[in-house]
Amino acid sequence: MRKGVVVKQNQRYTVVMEQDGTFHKANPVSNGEIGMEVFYTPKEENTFSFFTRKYPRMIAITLVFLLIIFPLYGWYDKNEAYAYVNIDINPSVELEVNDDMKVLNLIPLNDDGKSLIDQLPDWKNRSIEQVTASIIDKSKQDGFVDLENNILIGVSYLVKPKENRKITDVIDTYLSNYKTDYQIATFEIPSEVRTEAKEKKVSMNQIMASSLSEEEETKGKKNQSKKKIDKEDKAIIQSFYKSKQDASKKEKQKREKNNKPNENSYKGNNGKSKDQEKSSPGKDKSNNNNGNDNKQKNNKQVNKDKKQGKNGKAKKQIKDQKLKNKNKNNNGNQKNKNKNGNQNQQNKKERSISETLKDRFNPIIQQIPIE
Amino acid sequence: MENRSTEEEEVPLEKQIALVQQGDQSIQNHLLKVYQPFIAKSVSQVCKRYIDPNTDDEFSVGLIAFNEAMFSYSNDKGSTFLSFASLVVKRKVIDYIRKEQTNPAQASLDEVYDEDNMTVNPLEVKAAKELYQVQSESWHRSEEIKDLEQKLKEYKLSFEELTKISPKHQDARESAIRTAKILYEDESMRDFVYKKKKIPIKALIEKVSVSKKTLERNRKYILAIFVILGGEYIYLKDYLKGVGD
Repeated sequence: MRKGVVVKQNQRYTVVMEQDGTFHKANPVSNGEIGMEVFYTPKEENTFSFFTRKYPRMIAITLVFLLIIFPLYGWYDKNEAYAYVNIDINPSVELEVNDDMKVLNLIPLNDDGKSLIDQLPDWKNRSIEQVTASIIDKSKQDGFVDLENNILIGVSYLVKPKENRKITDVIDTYLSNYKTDYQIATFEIPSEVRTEAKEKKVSMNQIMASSLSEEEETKGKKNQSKKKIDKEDKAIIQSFYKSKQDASKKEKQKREKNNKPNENSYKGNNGKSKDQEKSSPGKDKSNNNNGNDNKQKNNKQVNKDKKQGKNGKAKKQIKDQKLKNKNKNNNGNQKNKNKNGNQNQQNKKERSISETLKDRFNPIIQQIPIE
Repeated sequence: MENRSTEEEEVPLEKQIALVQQGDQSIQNHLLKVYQPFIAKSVSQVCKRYIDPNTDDEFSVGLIAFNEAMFSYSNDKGSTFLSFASLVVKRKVIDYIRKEQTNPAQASLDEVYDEDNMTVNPLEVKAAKELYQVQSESWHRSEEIKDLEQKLKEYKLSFEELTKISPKHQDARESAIRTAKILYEDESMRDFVYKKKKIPIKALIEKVSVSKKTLERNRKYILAIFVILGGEYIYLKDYLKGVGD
């Protein structure tokens, strides 16, 4: 037992000051008031305190860390995309959806889609069916729905959808009331189609529609990879894009009507210039070619005649050949006349006259003996 | 009078005490009047009962003690006047009570011993006196310890920390106590400690035959002893060997 003055009293320990000036931690002293000199026993320090305190502390830290991470994991899980939904009315919009069927993001796929999204308030984290209904209502208000009231809703899943978590079913159920007023097609789209659409920066519904048309063209081939789409939905899809094509054709026709004078004048100028451009090199080429050919032919004939000599038989043969050549030339001239215009005809006449003269004079020239 | 009282209130108490020590009786009387509730409270803490300033003698003793405290206070020691005065008042009242209690117990040698009338046992009286002495000292030490704890907080020290940093070896402990005394006795170093709340290591090395490493190791303990030396801790110093000498 040691002796000292109590300087501090605690439930777990007592601090004691000894006469030598040292301070000690003691076991709790009963009835030991501050300032009182008491006998005490030093409080033993736990030798295993490091070991025993280490692991509980580590466990506590780990638990705290997990508690911090767990909400983050939940937040991340909720913000992860489960599927993409493309809605084509006239505005084209893509919706990113999580597995709680909540909309995470709205992406416009055309200008009308942009203006539509700007008018939609509070779409984030709302259910897909509600946002879809809002898009349809807004489109109707803005007059975007086509005459046949066709609406395409394509869904592409990033992961395999659960049977009770199919977006198409949810939308169909919710929009059942709308189907009396609209022709709504809801269908699943393979991921490869979505990938292609992303590359081309168009709606995946459009790519899907084109793939459907290709399927019809190649009915004989088996396409196991293609998912089945309801006949009614197919019809709606085809009708949607046909109406678009018709609309685009009409627009083109209107543009053509409005722009006819300018186009005619432009074409007329081009036509004239083109004709001139075409005719001048053609003329030059034909003239040069004809001249060269004639020269070559004449040279050959002269050479042949010289070689064969002045035999009568040979002369007859030569005459026959010449007549044949004449016929051929006449035929060629006629063809050229038909092909070319008046100018060509005039040129051909001149050529034919010159040729006929040459043909007539060549035998005579050849008959003259050389001194 | 009101203007003067407001002016006196604006002046710090320690400055007023300095003026009292210089002989300003008006301020002295003013303080004795204004701090009567403080005196009554201090006395009440000793007696553990309500104190009536008009009837209780203990209050008069406290008032006299407060007056003595005004003249004996020194700002150099680093404590506030009120904490100093409280200790002085309590000490005087304790002494008064002790005297009052011991006087009836005194026996006259001339008194005739009458066995039949004898009702008090001398041994019992002695034991009672000793017990009272112990209790009185305990109480005084208690008050000093409470004040010491507050002072240690100013230096960022605590009793729990002192249990860990107290030198275990006697030589080291005695050396630390000597160093604290040297630190306290040197005016410039003492002022430095009061202002900065830390030890001037460089200056102290030149005064003591202790290495810098040792000073650094026992820095907090030296500060604690310094605080005890600088305070009005009569009973604590008396109890601690080597400190009160």
